[in-house]
Amino acid sequence: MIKALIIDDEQHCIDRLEKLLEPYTHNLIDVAGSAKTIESGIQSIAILQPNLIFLDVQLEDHTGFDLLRALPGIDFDIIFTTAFEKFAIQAIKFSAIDYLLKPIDADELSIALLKLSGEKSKKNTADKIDLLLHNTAKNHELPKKIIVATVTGFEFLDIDSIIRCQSDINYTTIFLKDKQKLVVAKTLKEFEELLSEHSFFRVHNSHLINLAYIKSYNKGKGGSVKLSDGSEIEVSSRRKDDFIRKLSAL
Amino acid sequence: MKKFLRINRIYLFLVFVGICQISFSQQKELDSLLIELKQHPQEDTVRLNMLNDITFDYCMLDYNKAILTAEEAIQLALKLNNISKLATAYRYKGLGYANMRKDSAAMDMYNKALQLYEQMQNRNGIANAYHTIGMLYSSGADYYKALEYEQKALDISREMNNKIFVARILNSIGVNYLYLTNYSNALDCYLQTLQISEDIGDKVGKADALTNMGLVYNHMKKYNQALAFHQKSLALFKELDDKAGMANSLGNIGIVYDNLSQPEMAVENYEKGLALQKEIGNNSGIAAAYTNLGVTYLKLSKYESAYKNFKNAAELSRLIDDKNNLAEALHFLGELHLKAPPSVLLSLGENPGNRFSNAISYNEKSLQISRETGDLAQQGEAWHSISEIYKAENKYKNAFDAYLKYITFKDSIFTSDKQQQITRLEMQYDFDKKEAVINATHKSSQALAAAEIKQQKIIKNAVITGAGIFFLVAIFGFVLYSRKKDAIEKKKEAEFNSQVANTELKALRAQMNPHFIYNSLNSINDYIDKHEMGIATTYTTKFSRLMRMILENSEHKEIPLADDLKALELYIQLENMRMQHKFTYEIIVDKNIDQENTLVPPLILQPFVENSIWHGISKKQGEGKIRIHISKEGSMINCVVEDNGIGMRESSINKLNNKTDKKSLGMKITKARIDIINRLKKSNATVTLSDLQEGTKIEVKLPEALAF
Repeated sequence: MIKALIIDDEQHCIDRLEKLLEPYTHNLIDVAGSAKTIESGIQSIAILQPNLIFLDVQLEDHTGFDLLRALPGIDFDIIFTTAFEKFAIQAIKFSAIDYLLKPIDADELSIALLKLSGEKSKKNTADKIDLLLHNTAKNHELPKKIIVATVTGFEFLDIDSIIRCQSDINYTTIFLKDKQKLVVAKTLKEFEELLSEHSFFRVHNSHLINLAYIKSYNKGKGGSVKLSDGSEIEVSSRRKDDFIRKLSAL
Repeated sequence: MKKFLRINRIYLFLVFVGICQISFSQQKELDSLLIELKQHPQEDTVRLNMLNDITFDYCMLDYNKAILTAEEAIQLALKLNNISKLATAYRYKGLGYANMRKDSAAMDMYNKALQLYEQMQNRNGIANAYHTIGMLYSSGADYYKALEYEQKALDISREMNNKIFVARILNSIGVNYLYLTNYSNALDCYLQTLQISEDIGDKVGKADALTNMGLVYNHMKKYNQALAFHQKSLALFKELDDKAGMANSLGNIGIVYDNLSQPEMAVENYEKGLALQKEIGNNSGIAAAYTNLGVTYLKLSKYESAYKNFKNAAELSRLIDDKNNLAEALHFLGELHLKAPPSVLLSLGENPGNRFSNAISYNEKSLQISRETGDLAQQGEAWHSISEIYKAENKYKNAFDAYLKYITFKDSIFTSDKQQQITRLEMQYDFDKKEAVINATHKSSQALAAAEIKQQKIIKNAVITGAGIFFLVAIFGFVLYSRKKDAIEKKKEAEFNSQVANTELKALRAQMNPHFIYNSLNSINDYIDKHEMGIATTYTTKFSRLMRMILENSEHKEIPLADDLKALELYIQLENMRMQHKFTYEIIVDKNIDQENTLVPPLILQPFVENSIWHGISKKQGEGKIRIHISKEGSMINCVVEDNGIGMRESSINKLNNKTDKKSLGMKITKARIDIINRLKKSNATVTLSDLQEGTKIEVKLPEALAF
């Protein structure tokens, strides 16, 4: 059984989640309690020692991240619940932690719980939280690292170390500065969404490149760019204008 | 340096000719005078005057006859005790001697004349005598003595305000300064001369000054300028029919050409000059021309011609006691003996075996004469030759001794050359300044007025031209400016239009949201009314997911087809749930369309699907069917929504045209959006509604847009 704690500043949300968890309570989840503030949340965690926390991102004037920062250590899983905090969602995606959007969809909840039961290592969770907290430390700064799931587990990547990403249908190959290659079961589109606020640009249907690694640009219909690892990437003619605009804005 | 000496010698001749030209008369005049003389044998003042005049004319044409006539005049003057005319006669006789280069005899005559003038207190005469004696000293290379006499002459002339004479004296002073290598002073003199000559319309004086300036430029190695000055003076002499002057100028021009390394031109001019000198019997000029020709021929290795000319020069110079020229001719004869091939020497009647001793002896003679005249440069040249000759003879000790002497002379010349160089620079500056000042003041009154008129004209023209250019530039600039402005405005307008269009689009997209929300809330409400609460909750959750999707999509102008279809399908599912699965649906996308890469405006089909469900299927009895088919037709994406509802005849058309009907708002907005997209993209997207046998068909054709 998973001992779960729900932390949310709105009672109806707690109620709803409890209701949605009802089908699982007999064999998987034990909802041990709930809290509505950071302080009570910290207390509850200390007392209850939960295995899983459903954590609301927005807790009155604070955030769920603030709560996590206040804890001495993290040895539990987390599923964030949030309504529409775009920044928070992005940060959570970066750290590959699960989240549920409110109002919570029963189907999505079941998928999240399924994933949770499949995962064993708490160590990973702690690392992911570390990264998340790091990335959300200063709201103005963009995250520095990203977590990607690989065949063997998780990989923490410096965003700066990614030279480019190449799509292979539903997989994406990430080319790193140290010549390493990672194959990730995510679409290029997902990476584009994650990284386009950094200096990444999708120059082609199957190529997302880090603009910081461009060595030269050869003019042409769309042209092509040479990156510092020696690779030459075609630029789609439809992306050329935007690409040049983005380049000159650097 | 040797050229320099020759130049000055020729120049001195020019000055003497100048004296004659004070009352220049021509052969014609002489002829008529001679006839008159014959008709007037009485020994009286009239005849004395005639004799003097004839002497003067002969001084130009025949020196021997000049001397004879002068002697006759002297005798007559003494007889008549006419001191004034006696002085004139002495003077003219002196002039004749001077022209014959018999300097000492000339000096005697002038001293006699000077005494008489002083006796008479004839200041003009005194000045004239001083001046001539000065020139004779100059000819004898005693330049300081010469300057002393010239200065006396100048002072008197200035007191008397005799401009012509002042000019002439200044000219002579300039020559002396030239000898003393004081070029600044020399040029100063020449410029003053030029100014005075022009003021008083003295063309001869002007021509002399021009010649002298040419000589200075020649010495400054500015040969082209030198040539220009000499040619100007030659033209003036021609105008005056002054053969002596012409001959002199031709000689000078020859020298400049020689310096310009154009020996053919040099020879041509020398020969012309020589012919003229012979015509007027100017021995000094002839001798100088011979030397100059010899030097040029020697350079061209035409030894026979050179030899002949040098020999002639030496012979004539000895005859007329022209030491400078003699020393030079001898020196060159020595050189020729050293350089000419034995066969040539033989053919010239010289024994090649004695070539060295002959060469030495010529140079030693030259050296001796140069010592007498104090010509350092010529002595240096002689020593150089001697050194070369000893070297050729392998007499190295002698060669070395001679060389040391040459170096000594060379050094002394070099020092003065160095000084000259410095002076030259200063002088050039002074010269330019002086020239400008003199020119400015001299061309006073009408010249100034003319200049002013010219200047005003120039200013006027400049103003007109300037104004013209200004206007042209202004017009051109204005045209460019307005064109650019037009372009900018057009661009701005286009940008503005596109901005307006985009804003409209955004507004329309934004309108889609509340429209959709109200409709959906309506649906939920309806659902809650009809069904149980638990399922209503699920419904709401799904709805919120759709809402999120739609809000996100509507932020963008275009989204991938896949995203839009995902939202559309979710919407259809929700509606189907609400209707208790009253209808079935299928969404078909042709294989040749890349859903991720094909862009469509968000929510473009939703209103039509909504219309099918609400107005087609909901009112129909039995199972409904919605078919969405996306295909590609050329460069257009064809989106078809078909239903088997009740059709438009009964519902949609009427409602479409009825603006109060809220339910067709989505379709109206969509039509407006497509219009704007067409305007922006200059595309031809269309929406067509048509009735099927059963149901309605809506076709939306969009231009294919790819993300990559």
